[in-house]
Amino acid sequence: MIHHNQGQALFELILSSMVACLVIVLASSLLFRCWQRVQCAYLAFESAQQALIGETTFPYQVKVEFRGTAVHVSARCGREMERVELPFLEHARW
Amino acid sequence: MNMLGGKHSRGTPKGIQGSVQFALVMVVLVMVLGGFGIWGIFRSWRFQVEHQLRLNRCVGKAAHRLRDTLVDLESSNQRMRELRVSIAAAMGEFPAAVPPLKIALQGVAKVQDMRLWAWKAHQGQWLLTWGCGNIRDRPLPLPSLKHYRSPPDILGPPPLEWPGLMPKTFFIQVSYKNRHSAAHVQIEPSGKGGFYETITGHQKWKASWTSPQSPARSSFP
Repeated sequence: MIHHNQGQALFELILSSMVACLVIVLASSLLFRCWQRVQCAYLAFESAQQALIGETTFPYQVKVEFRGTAVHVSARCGREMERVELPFLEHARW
Repeated sequence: MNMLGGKHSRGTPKGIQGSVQFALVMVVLVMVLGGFGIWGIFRSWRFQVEHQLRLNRCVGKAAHRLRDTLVDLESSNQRMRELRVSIAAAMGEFPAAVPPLKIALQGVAKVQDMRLWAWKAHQGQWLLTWGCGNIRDRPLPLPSLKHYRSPPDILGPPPLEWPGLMPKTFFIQVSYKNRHSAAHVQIEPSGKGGFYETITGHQKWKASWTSPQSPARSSFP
């Protein structure tokens, strides 16, 4: 009887561990994608803000272009890409 | 998930049941804590962006207002000079045109005075509302426009003057914690002005973002 119960406990442990691992992998993947997206958005915004005030050095993931009436910044973080456009003050409208 | 309920694990040794539950609880706990941690960072970044945009909007509006005021004062000064030349010419050749020209000159002078008062009121409002409306904002006081007008002469009120040399740059800045927004309004560098600007001395003011001054200067003096 005890032997039978031990087998059931082991089975439950393996099954629940597999489910837990699956959940962890899925949740980690989701969180990682979210992390990359938010990090990219923040990086692009910060770089655009710095570009507006005259900074010229940026992280390697960031591409800065001064076009027309705004600064255009694109940042790539892993598979995520983020674009930010901030206007020059003379052309800003609120 | 039988072990969580405990109903079907009747007879399972309590040590084994407890260890499985403990491991699962730990996994859930770590995931929840990790999730909250990452969510906290997301929130902090979002707030930083929100505050930066709030400061930018506020400083940008003030810079536009200052630029418009300076441009308006300059252009109305130019109009006054032209009117005074017209009055002087009309005094000798066409005296009937003098009174309406003088009324027009006085009208322009009144509008200038109102512009200056409006800027002073904006300066007061800026200080009362901590720059951008948040009590933790640390604004630099808005630049003062020190224009003055000499007493009227035979032609009427003279244009506004600046005591001494007028600054070529006016600076506006607000900080909030570690976020700063700064702008300056300055005369467009020489060479960009047209023939009219060169002849009349009328200069073009331009607003642009700039790097903030040291934090020590970003609080009230």
